[in-house]
Amino acid sequence: MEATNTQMKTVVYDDSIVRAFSIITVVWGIVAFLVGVIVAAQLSFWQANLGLEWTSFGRLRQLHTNAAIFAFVGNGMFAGIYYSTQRLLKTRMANDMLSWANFWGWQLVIVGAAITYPLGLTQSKEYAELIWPLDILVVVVWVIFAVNFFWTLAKRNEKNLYVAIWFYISTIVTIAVLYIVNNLQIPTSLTHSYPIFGGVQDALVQWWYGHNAVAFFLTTPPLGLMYYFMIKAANRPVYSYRLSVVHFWSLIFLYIWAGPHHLLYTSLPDWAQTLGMIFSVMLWAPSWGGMLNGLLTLRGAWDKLRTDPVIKFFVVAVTFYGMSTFEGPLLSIKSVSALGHYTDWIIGHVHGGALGWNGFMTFGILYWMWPRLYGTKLYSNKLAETHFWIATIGILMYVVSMWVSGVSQGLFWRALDAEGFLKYPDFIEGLTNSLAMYHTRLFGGVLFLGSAFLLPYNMIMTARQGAPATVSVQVPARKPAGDQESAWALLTSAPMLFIVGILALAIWFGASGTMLSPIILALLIVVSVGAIISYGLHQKRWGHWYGLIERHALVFTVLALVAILIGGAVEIIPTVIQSNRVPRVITDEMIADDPALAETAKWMQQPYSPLELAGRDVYVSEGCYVCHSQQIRPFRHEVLRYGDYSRMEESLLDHPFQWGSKRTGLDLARVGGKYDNLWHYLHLMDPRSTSPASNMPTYPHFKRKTVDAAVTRHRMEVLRRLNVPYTDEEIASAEADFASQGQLIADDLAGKDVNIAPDSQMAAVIAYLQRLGRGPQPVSAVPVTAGK
Amino acid sequence: MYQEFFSHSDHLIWPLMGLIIFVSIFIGVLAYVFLGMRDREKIDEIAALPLELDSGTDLAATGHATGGPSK
Repeated sequence: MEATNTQMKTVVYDDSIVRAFSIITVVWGIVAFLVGVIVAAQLSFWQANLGLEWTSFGRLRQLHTNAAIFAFVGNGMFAGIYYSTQRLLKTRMANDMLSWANFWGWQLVIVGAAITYPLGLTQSKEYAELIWPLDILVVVVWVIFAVNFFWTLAKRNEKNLYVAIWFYISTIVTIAVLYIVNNLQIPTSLTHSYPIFGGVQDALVQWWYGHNAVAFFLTTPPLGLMYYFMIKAANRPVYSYRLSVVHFWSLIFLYIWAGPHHLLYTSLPDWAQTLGMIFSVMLWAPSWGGMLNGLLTLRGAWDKLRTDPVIKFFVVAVTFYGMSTFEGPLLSIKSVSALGHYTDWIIGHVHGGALGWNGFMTFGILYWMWPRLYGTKLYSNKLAETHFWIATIGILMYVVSMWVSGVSQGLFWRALDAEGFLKYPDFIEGLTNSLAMYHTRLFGGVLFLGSAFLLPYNMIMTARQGAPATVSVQVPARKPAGDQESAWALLTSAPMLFIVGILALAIWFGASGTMLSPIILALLIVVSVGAIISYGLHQKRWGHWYGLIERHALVFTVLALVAILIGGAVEIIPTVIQSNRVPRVITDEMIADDPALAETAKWMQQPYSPLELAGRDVYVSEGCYVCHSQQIRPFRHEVLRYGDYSRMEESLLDHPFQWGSKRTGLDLARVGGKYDNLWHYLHLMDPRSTSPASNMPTYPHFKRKTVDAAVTRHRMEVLRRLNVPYTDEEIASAEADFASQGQLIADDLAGKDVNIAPDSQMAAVIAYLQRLGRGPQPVSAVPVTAGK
Repeated sequence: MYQEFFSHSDHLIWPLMGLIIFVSIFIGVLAYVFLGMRDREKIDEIAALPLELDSGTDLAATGHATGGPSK
């Protein structure tokens, strides 16, 4: 692999793994876009659900998002990282077997997702829907990737770690932390589990993960790739290396805090919402710093924009990055979120990022990299240009239509008449108004999908006119000097000690009382002045300090890890502690001791009955949350439409939480008791029978398929381990209660000439829906006793 | 002195700590990067790392590096 001579040695890069990842990126990309077009068609024409349980919107939407994120962007990311890392570190990947284990393991995860989602096997947490065995596989594959990457860092032949490598490091460590924490769960079977967090805790952890999956899977890797491939394509050094230092550290530190902006005006504690909003707005600065650094790299090379399709893809990608990172902070402002949340505006925002930023970045990289992998030129620049223009038009049609639809929905939902009542009480009217925009979105998606087929054709023809290239470089036979400084020496160097000291004093100042704080402030000033004097005396050493850090992979990784852990810890730990302090059972004696508990007790959620729990599990597996929220915000128009606003106590026992993030249909937090059982039956069998113009799929399989009382009983036992207060008696009578409540619903429907089995999914889902927003419901013909 | 303001919660001090940490680090990084890192030659060398040519395919497809130095 590496032939040495006296002074130089030859390093041969492993580009076969890059070729494999590139090919599979295109394959999965087309699958992701195709499923995207299908789900867009389902929103336009409900018939596109095909009346099959496996192809309903709730199930396929998860397939679409996961295919786009993990299969398309993920494989593209691996292709780009494997290509650029070897060249930036002037070494072959540490272990070819690990590279291929990474490749095949990742494809296994994707195939697993493609099989399980249509089968309704899901955790129903956005972008983390995979069932637990696949979660474990993801972690194993990620560890393999990390070991291979850091091993390669250790054996590199380039002493400096270029900025692209920093972004890859932050991606690897952060995704590991996010994925593991958000997927802490207790299995109940091979295909089902309950997350250890419930209600508000689950919501915060999920969106800490969800937002940072966007940050550290869809943003930091493409940024790292931008810092390599855009520079290569433009043949210019990065505009400002210094700006890239500020960009990197401020971006990774800030991003991790922004998750709560997905939960504005929910029952998440207000301080966490505000914190998420503030950090999201601050995020605008480093994001645009990075965008400008990318675009300004093209200074003096803008003429290439006219002739080079690769530059076109990159410029539009970075421009979409700028647009998305402006729109994101904008939507995070509470008053803007009040209008945009739950609407199609968010869908437009996400697709601007996914199709424009990630998609075009990936296309640009493939068009640039592929000819080099085959030692030839691109088969057709014209085809690439055609791909670019059709896809651009497609994205614009998609995004603009969703903006129009989203803002219209927000305004429609909140409109009040002169008397202060809902101007448009019929929710479905808003959906009808959006249909033209849904059709436009579908057409835009078809254009994007259609144009994507030009890429594999161009790649195949390019490969046919060349041959797999073997690329090698000459590097010094001896490892370059520069890594002699030990990790300990770096971590205890003067700049680091001053930083830690100033931080510690700043924190102490904030936490101290009125007597102590002036003294600490004085100390803070003394230490800061000391730092300035130290810098003045040892300017050269201070100036080289960061250079030493960025040559030391271990120290750099530790500092990046600390930067991303602070935000998550500060938000999650207090919320978990606070919500854990809310007692799950409140007795009269407790209220006598602490009268404030009376209000908590009023809203405190009671455990679901066995049949309701079974129905909830069906609801979760169908992905109902992708269209129906269960979280009423404290606005007059929401309270008028859905009922009293949601309290934190009402969903504390929900594992997983089902607050949702989009309302194609109504909020269901208080749907219990609004309609009779027959209405729900008819609505689930054919939504158009009760809600003309609805685009909801049909669920006839609910009538055919059954739920298992014994399985539910086991799940109740698991939930009890998660602090859901099921009593011994409730678990002992689970199967009997399950059967009797099912019989009640079946008898009620039988009286209206509808026959269902008491243990059907239909009975269970109706039981669950009838429970939402209400206390315990009768489980047998005998009136329920107090305290049950 | 902030203790009175946050007296109603044991935990609300955490976000303030986070903010202090961020602002301190951010100002420190800015000052360090734009005042401390003065070795232009070194910066230009690192900034141009991706432009070092691979043998074979890269040579054929790449033009001359004519961009100015990194800021």
